[in-house]
Amino acid sequence: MASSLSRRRLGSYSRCLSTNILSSPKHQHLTTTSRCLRIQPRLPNASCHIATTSLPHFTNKGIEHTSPIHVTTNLPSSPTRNQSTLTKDHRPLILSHSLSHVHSEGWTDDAIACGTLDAGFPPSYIGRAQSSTSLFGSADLVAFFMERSNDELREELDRRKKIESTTDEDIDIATRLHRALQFRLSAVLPFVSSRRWHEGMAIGALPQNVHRTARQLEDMSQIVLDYALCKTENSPAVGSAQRAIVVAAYAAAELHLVSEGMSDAARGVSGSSISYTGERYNSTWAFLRERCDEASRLLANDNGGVLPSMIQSASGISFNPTHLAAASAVASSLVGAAFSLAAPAAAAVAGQALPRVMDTLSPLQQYAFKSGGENRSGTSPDDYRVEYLPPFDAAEVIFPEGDRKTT
Amino acid sequence: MVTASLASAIIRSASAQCTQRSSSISRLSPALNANPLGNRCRHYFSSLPNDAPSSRSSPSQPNTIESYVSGPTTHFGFTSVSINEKERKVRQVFENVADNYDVMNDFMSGGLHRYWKDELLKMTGVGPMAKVVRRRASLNYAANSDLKSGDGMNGKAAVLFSILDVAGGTGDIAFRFVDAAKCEERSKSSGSDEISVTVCDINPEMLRVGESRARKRFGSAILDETCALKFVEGNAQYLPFDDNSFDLYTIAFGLRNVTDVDMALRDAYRVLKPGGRFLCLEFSHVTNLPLAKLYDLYSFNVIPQLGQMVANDRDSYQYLVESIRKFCTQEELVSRMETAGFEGVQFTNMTGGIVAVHEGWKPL
Repeated sequence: MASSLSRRRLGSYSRCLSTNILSSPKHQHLTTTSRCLRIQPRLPNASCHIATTSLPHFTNKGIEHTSPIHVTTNLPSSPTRNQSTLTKDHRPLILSHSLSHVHSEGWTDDAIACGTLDAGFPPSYIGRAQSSTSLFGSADLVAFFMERSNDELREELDRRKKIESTTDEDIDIATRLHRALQFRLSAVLPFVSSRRWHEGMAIGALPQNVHRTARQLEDMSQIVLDYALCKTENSPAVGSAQRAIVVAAYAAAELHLVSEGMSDAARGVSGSSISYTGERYNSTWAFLRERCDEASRLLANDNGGVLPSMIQSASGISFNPTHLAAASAVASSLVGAAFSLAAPAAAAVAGQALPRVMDTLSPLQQYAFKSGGENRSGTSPDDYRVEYLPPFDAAEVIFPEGDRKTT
Repeated sequence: MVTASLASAIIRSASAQCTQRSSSISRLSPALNANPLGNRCRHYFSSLPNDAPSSRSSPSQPNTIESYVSGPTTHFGFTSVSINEKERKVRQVFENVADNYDVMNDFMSGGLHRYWKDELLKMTGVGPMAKVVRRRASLNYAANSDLKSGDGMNGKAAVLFSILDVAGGTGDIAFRFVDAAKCEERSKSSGSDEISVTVCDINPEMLRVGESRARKRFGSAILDETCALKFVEGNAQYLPFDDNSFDLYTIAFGLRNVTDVDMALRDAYRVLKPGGRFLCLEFSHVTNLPLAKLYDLYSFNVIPQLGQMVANDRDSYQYLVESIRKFCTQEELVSRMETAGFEGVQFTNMTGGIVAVHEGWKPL
């Protein structure tokens, strides 16, 4: 059938790109460039003919993860679907074509319609990839994108594990976490640049989708922890608290990334060109590095259950690791994002309020060791203590005119 | 029996309708041979050689579901009538209810029928797809401006997305399609449209009501100039359309009134293009027991009373309620659709199973 052929071609296309470009392991920048080539707007019809002996990853896992979703709720009036008897699952193909249209159409059924026609199917095939129960936008697209990113992350980390087992370098947990989370975040870069990712996050956070999103984030953190802790000797048990730590770090960095993408637009940097490379987001990577350092300390300090009880006694609220991690992530990321984006003058004023804010920060923050005054990279709230800031000069020109980039 | 069927085949083929259908005979499913039937023209289908080239289900699979119509009688509500009678009686029922049909729908379902029809529209995805189809057509037009006069016929735009709504006499579903695809706007501005919606119904009274509503709502341009909306009289069992002519086939609350559901499904399969989609919105069997009891109480006590008070016709509404009970269950309809040749068949229950939307695709 034509569709299975094209599906195989699609898989082999992404495979052949990844094997060609990622063959040199030292090039970390190329990680992000290769992702740009993978998410091309138009996949050529005559794609590469490199025969892959193994099945393309996304047909295997893509189908398992994107099987028709059963919407079952307790309300008698909402639609409930039975198990479909689809012989060939066209969903992954249609949705992967649709993702390239998300930049222009948003996470909507319009994008799925464009994807259906791009994939060469007749117009009625939109029903294959679309579920009728989405309210504000296409949850199918967002869910498919998350699953696919997780699959790509798993593949990439497996590949890195193999390479590292041969080279035998000693990489600490924080660096591993940082690399893994940076790779995962770079999947989102094109959508951040086209200012669509915050919409995707919002759709993922809708009540009917939040369970699925939470499960996907947990899967992601499991994959990351498998990679990060693979070389530790005592191989600590990976429980929900540890996964929550990773999810918190990821969520914080994601929010930082999104706000950085928005601030680019505000400053007049051209947002119409889709940026696939990560160089524009260096402050996000530095922020992520900080979070990964904290996370690795938390993971190392945690002797199976000590951390949760400490937190519970400190805060006195009922402990749910995911909720707590999410709340702490939001709080810490908002504070961090605010300070990384604010001009120094504003930060000086806010510096008065900083100690108060620190008290309301999550208990998790208190247990992380901060590096004091000597290593001020500007991404942690501590760097903006009033005494560390340079003196404020009213005549200083911060954003000179005439320096604007034009599209 | 063979000669009688051949004779009827010859007579049938002489009529205008069957010249189009002769090409579709080769694609009929092998399960047709299991029809043991009586006096109708369906005989000639069953005696023709089994030509099973592109069938999805294996011929060795046992036909566990009996054919919908076997023997000389069938059900009409809870009574039993002969097959010839059923069509006439159903026609009579709908002639009686035509004028008050929309009002009665609101009373009977408490306004829920609007929600069900809106859900059906969302499932078809006509809104987004129509938008994208129009945009691509206009891009093609801009890119290939020399093809202006060659597209379609007489310089009109070729129809790229065609929808058929069967048993949709008063046009409820069709109007939703027209609104979602913005055909009214196009009819007021230009002479041709890439989207076309056809309403087919067996009952000319319902069609009359539908057409007058369409004129009031959309104006006459959509019916006369662009012909994006058409009202055609026809029987779901033998549709007056060519093979492979529609992308989307919907039938809302009409399948249970058809005498032979299998035949209607086969004809739906015939008129759909490869890759075309079949959608059926129909009352179905409630899975939740307490809700089923409430639903029965309401159906048998309240609805005929309402029919008597509002439309002065208790019997028609009694038939309507009984026909729901005699219709197939969700799973049974799924297997009938698979026998007819559809792939990817699934159903979606709404309101606890009171209605269900069955969908299936014609294989590419």
